[in-house]
This record gives sequence, structure tokens and C-alpha cells, in this order.
Amino acid sequence: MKTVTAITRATQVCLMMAVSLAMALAQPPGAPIAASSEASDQKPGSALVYNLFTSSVSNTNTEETEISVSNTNAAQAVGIRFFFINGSDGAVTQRLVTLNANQTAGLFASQVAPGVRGYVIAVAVNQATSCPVSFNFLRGSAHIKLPAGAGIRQTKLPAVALAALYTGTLGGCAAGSPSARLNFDGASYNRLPRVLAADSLLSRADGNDALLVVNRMSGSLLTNVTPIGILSGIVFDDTENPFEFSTLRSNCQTSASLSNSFPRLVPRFDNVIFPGRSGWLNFFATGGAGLLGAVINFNPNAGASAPAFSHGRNLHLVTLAPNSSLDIPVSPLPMFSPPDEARSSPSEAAPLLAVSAASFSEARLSPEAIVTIFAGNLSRNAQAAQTPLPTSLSGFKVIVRDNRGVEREAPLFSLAPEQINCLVPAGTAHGPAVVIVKQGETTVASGKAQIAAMAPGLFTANADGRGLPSAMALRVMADGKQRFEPVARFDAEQQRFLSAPIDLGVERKQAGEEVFLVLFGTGLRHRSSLASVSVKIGGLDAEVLYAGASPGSPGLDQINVRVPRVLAGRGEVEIVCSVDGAEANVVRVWIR
Amino acid sequence: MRHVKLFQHVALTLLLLSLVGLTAQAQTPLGPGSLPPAASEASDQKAGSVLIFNLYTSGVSSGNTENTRISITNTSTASTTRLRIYFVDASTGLAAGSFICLTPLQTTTFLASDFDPGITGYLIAIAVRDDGCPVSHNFLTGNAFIKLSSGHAANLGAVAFAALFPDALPGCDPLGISARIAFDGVAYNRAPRALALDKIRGVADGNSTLLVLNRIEGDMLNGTPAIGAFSGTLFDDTGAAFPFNATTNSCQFRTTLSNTFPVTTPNFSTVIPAGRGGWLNVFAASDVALLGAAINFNPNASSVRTAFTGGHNLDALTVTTTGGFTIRVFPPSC
Repeated sequence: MKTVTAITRATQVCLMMAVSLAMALAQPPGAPIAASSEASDQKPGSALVYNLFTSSVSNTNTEETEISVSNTNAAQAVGIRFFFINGSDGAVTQRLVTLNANQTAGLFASQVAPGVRGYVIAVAVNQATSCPVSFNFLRGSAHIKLPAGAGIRQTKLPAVALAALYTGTLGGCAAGSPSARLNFDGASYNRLPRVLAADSLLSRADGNDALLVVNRMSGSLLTNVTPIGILSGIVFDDTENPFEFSTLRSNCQTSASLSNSFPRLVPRFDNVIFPGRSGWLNFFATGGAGLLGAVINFNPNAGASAPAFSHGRNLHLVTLAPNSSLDIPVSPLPMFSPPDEARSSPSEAAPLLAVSAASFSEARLSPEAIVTIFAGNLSRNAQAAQTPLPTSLSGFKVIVRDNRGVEREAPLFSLAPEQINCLVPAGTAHGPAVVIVKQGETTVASGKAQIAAMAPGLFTANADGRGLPSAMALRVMADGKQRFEPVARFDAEQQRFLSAPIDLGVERKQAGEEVFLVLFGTGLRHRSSLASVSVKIGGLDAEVLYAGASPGSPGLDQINVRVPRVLAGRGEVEIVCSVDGAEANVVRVWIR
Repeated sequence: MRHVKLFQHVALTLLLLSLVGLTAQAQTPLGPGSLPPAASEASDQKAGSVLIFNLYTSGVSSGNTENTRISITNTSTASTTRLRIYFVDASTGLAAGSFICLTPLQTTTFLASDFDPGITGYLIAIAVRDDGCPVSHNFLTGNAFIKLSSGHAANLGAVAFAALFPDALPGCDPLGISARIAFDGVAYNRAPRALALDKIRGVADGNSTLLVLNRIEGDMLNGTPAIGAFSGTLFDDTGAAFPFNATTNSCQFRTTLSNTFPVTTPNFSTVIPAGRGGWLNVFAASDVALLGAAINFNPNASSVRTAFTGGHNLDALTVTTTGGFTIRVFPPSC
């Protein structure tokens, strides 16, 4: 009798467990959405496109993006490979996240690609092989805020989902494959839009500032994504009058306010959409690329005037491209744990991210290099230090505990609400280290860093770790006179630095002039020898004359190189710098 | 002879009329690429013959802080369309109807405060023929800029349902009283059965997330029924599930997420504490079609990195064939 009771209890437990499991695995009622239903921001998919992300290096309170993703499958975990694409130069930053069944996660743009504006593509992948898989259960959205004049432009854009139309793993991809091709052809994945439309365009004279965002969705994520090229379209006023335009977009993402200069209309935008009136537009890339996009309106009077509104949405798809393709890398990536979703009790220290202040790379930091620490709620006020650098600002300290357990206080440059700029203390041992931010005796944030002898980074004009370097061209005349020339100029309209060409033209050559480039960086002063420093400009070796500390500035290093004269007329060229085998971030200059 | 001439005249007139008709139907593409197939599920990114705007509102005393700007565009290059617009009052379920006519490529925009002041609900726009019968015109797009006095604001695209039939709705009698707009996958696209809100932030972080659910079912003559009992599951950011149940006697359910809704064990603030996230799904107890939206407002959005404001339509997780509306059939005034 006792045995029978035990069996009965065991059966009941098993039954209850089965019922519980069934409840946990239950999907909601209703018929599944057909995978063949075209791309949409209201359905789940195996690939997600977030049309805009942005963050500020200096003030993430007013410019930041939270990229969210949810696994709506009640039973299966999945790997998700994120590609953060820099809209300016097409450079790609990757992250790999794993989501369990029903799990959700958030990534803040400032923690992945600080100071960068662009778009994100997320692809469901096999956790073992990194190959794309069919997993039509991903949903996502992006909460976005960015400055707009004196105010802040805000919106929440759902991710556009593309369903996989195959089963299992994407054909042709296997463990060890360097890349995989996503074909948006209606056979492998849903098709992409060819023609997009934005309705409800309102007058600028009524205070409206509509930011139009357009992204190129084809090409390769193994290299920098290619530019959109020419966009051709039509703006219609509310009496159906058409106004055609064509505009060359030299980046893979366009994000520009609709105005009299974009798109160029005849007559201009303000004479097409009058006060109190509206219009709409459609456009496509003449080169054939699949496109996605969004429009985000900002009106500073939204809180006080009845017809004034803010916020935005994804663009409508008017027609579909028959096929577009995107090559993605499938090489293994380390798992990324979004700090925001970390399971930690409130009493534990908040996470931080320590990166090179020049390249914004978190891969390696070196002793006496300038680093930027991102963390939340550090100080209400910003404060900058003077040399000699202090180790405390407003009661905040940064301590680096090295591989040997030795703790050193870091010299501080500046303190901001969510950022500290400081030096890695001299003498910090190589290997894993812990970075700790303290306010008084309280630890307010901590995180890990990898310390190495060499972690070269080049400062950039737009403080994003890419594009134009913080550099000067030194022109030496035939008579020995010297003149410094900028390689970047500030464009007030775009609010960023643009190229100022270095002139190596025939007349300069005939005049016997030589041009040297002085690149500013950090993390390279402890090079083994000058011969270990390599600089290639436009693929050509440039003679390195100096690489080391820049006199008078803590942590600041510089590299002086002779610019090869044969580069004359090459236009934009890359500068690839390597020190003791460690590569710095790639920068670009324009040579006339 | 006279009869022959009369016959020839009538034939010529009919021929001319049919040519005019053919010309009107010929669509000049707006650009390269192919039109999305009508069978693609309802979405706020495609064009359709029926548009549903998940929320409209305007203040009773002032439209300055609470109002809605509705925009509708006819992206057809060839055909004029007549739209029956229904403003469904969420508090009563009763609809007020109006007409709008849009010539090819025309767009129109209006404020809720000018059309239906002081009312909150959802809005339906249906393409109809000159005799009042619903017509296939999968070229309509729209969106609604919304602001509430509570601080919530968003720009929600209109969810478009494509007609799957050519010309006029089969079975519609211009002399009859009503016609059925069926979201059954035969006449029009199906409507969502289960919805999802993919990112929820904690109340302790200053977030106020307004959830809006609409029953996509009803009769524009007699009123739209209530959603009734509905269920769902709230998930925390580790995937742990917390089921909930609720009931509403309105066709539109609006509430901010809190310990009062959804009622979970433990409560909402415990499931999603400060600094953390989650998501939820929701569906009616009976086989009812739903649409919805969520709008988050955080008063610290301008000063705290992790605080944001904005909203979007809810995602469809599954679909059903039961949704639809019965509308009155009578000729439009334009």
C-alpha cells in the first residue's frame, strides 16, 4: 500500500511538472503569421533592422539609443549577432547576444558604438557555428533621443522584421565558413523595399523639423558598407503637384532634416509645403539597392500648440526589390552580456565600460594611455582638471587593480555625469585588470579591462574613433620655412568636421615643398623601437620620423610621418598605423 | 434609322466610358520594383484598402496639449478614392461616420479636435465606391501624431488591411443597408489574435507605459462590442513568465502598466524592478481580433541616459479570421 501511494505521488508530481512545462511552452492562441508575409515592423522575423541608433560621447542624457530585442519563442534559445553600422563610413561593430526562451535584452548604443550614428542589423544565428538560422520569433525596437536645436528629438521605432523562408540553417553556411549571404529575394528571406514613402510632411514654417533617415540594405558587412548613391524621388504637395529631386548620398545612411537644401526642390521645400499644409514623398536608389528608413519630426511647440506634434515612425514600403543581398561575417565572436540587463542586486556597483579615448576600442588599454570610462550617474556636474593631474575630482576616484592585485589611483582629466576621462596608471601590470570608480569610500561602478603593452589609438576630429584624424599637416617650403595646415574643417550646417585636402599638387612639387603629417594618439609611447612603427597612407609605406610621447601633455602621443608625394591627386586615402604589431583605428585624409 | 443612330450613339458612349474606366485603372508605378502582394499580412508599413488608427484623442477644453493629427495619403497614380471614416468612441463603442475624397497622389491631414472634439477612441477609414460599396484600393497609407495631456506622445502608423478581391466587395448590394468588411483572409487580410509589446521598462525608473487595445470587430450602426475577458503573460528579462487575466467592458482598453494592471504574482514592480526590462503578450479569452499600441512617457527623458519617451503599434504574434466590421452602405457625398 505504501508503495502504491509513493507511485501515485510520483505520478502526480510528473503530471504537475508536465502541465507546468506545457504551460511554460504554450504559445498564444491563433494562427501563425505566414513567413512569406512581406517585411514589416509588426511581425516577428529571423533578421531585424533598426533604422537608427545614435549616442553622444559627451552627453548620453540627451543623445542615446536603447536597442531592444525579445525572443518570443516559448521553448528555444537563440544566438543573435548584432551589426552596428556606422552611417558615415560604413564601418561595422559586432556583438553576439544569446537569448533564452521568452527572454528580452537591451543594448545601449553608447556601450557598443559610442559617438556613432547609424543603423543596426540583428541576425538569428546558430550559437555553435554562428551561421544564420531560421528563427522567426525575434521582435525588437529602438528607443531613440537626439538633440534637435534647443530641444530633444525622441521616438520609438520598432525593428523591421524579415522572416527566413528556409528551415534550419542557411544553406551554404557551415562551421568555419568566413561569411554567409543573406538573400532578400522572397525565397531565402523576405524581400526588401525598393521604393519608400513618407507621408504627413509638415511645414517648416510651422516649426516642424522632420529628420529623414534612409539606410542602404545591400552589400557586405565584412568590409565597410557601400554608400547609397543617388536617391531619386518626388515630393507631392497636398494638391498633388509633383516636385522631382535627385540627390547623391555618399554614405550608407542618410539622416538629414527636410529643408531647402535637402532634398533640392524647384521651388524649394518651404515653397512646396506651406504653413498649415502638408505633403508626402517617395524615393528609390537609382543603383538598385534595397532601402529602409524612418522619419522623425520635432516641433518645439508640441506641448503648447494644437497642430504641433513630435515623434516618428518607419517609412512605408511602396514597392519591393526583386532581390538584394547582404554578406555577413560568421567568424566566432565572444558572448556579450548587456550590462543593463545584468542580474545584480541594487547594492552592487553599476557596470562601466573603459575604452581608449582615441579609438573607443575596449579591446586593450595600455599604461599611461588616455581612457574614457562610461558609467551611469557619476556626478551632477561636469568638471575638468589642470596639470598636474589630480587623482580625485569632486570626491570621485578611479582605481585600477592590475593582474598582480596592485591597486593604483588613476590621474583624472575630467568628470561628467556619465563619463570620466583619465590615464591608466603608470606601472599597471599587463593582463586582466579591474577598473573601479569610487565616490568617497563607496564603489559606484566597476568593470573589467585588458591591459597590454601596446594599445595604439588615433584621436579623430569628430571624436568617434573613425574618419578624419586629429592631425596637422606640416608643409616645409624649399627655403626651410614651415607652415601648419589643418586636415579638417568644421561645417556649421552639419555640425561636424569635414576634410580639408592636403595639397600635393604639381605646383607644390615644382616648388620643392615637402609635407609631413602629425597624427595625435595615445597608447603607443612604450613602443619597442621606431622601426616597429608602420604607417601606410593609401596603401603606401610612409616614412615614420617620430613615434612617442607628445611633449607637455600627459598621455598624449604623436606620430610624425612624411606624406609620399606619389599620393598627389588620390583623393580620400586610409591611414593604417601599426605599432609592435598592434593596429590603431583606421583614419582617412583627403589628398589633392 | 433613328434607332440605329441612337444605338450607335449609346455604343460609342459606352465605349468611351469603358476607355475612361480603363485609363483610370492603369497605374503608373511610382518607381521601380513590384507592388507588395495583397496577401501579405496587415501592417502599418504597407498600403491597403482599410486603415485602422489605433488611437485618436483631443482635449475637451484645449487641443493644445491633447490632440491628434490624422494623415491619409492616396498613393495611387490613377484612381480617385472615396473614404468612409468612422470615429469610434471608446466610452460607448458607437461610431460617427464621415466621408473624405482623395484624388490620385493626394494627401490630407486633419486634427481630431476639428472633427470629434473631446472624444477618445480609434478610427477606421474604408475605401468605397461611388455607390457606397467597399472597393479594392490597396493604395492607402496613413499615420496619427498623438499627444496626451499626461505627456505621452507618439507617431503611430495606420495599420493597413489590403482587399483581396478585385473591384467592389463581392455580395455588396448598393441598395442594401449594410456590408461586411471581413478580415478573414478572403475578403481582406486577417487581423491579429495575439499581440506583443516587446520592451517594457520599470515604473521605478519613472516610466509610464500606456497600453491601448482595440477590438477589431463590430457594427458601425449598432456599436462595437467590448473586448471582454483577456489574458496574457508578462516576461521579465530572464524569460520568467508571469501570467495575468483582466476584463474590460469597452471596445478599447487603455491603461498604464502598474501593479493594478497587469495583476501578476509577484506584482508588476517586482517583476520589472528599477533598471530592468521585460515584455508581454496579450490575447482575448474568446477568438477576438485585436489591434493595439503602447506609448511610454518618462519625464526624465531629457536628463537621464536610460529614460526615453515614444511609442509604436503592438506586434502581431498570431492572426485570426474572425475580425471585421459591418458598415452602412450609401453613396458618398463626393
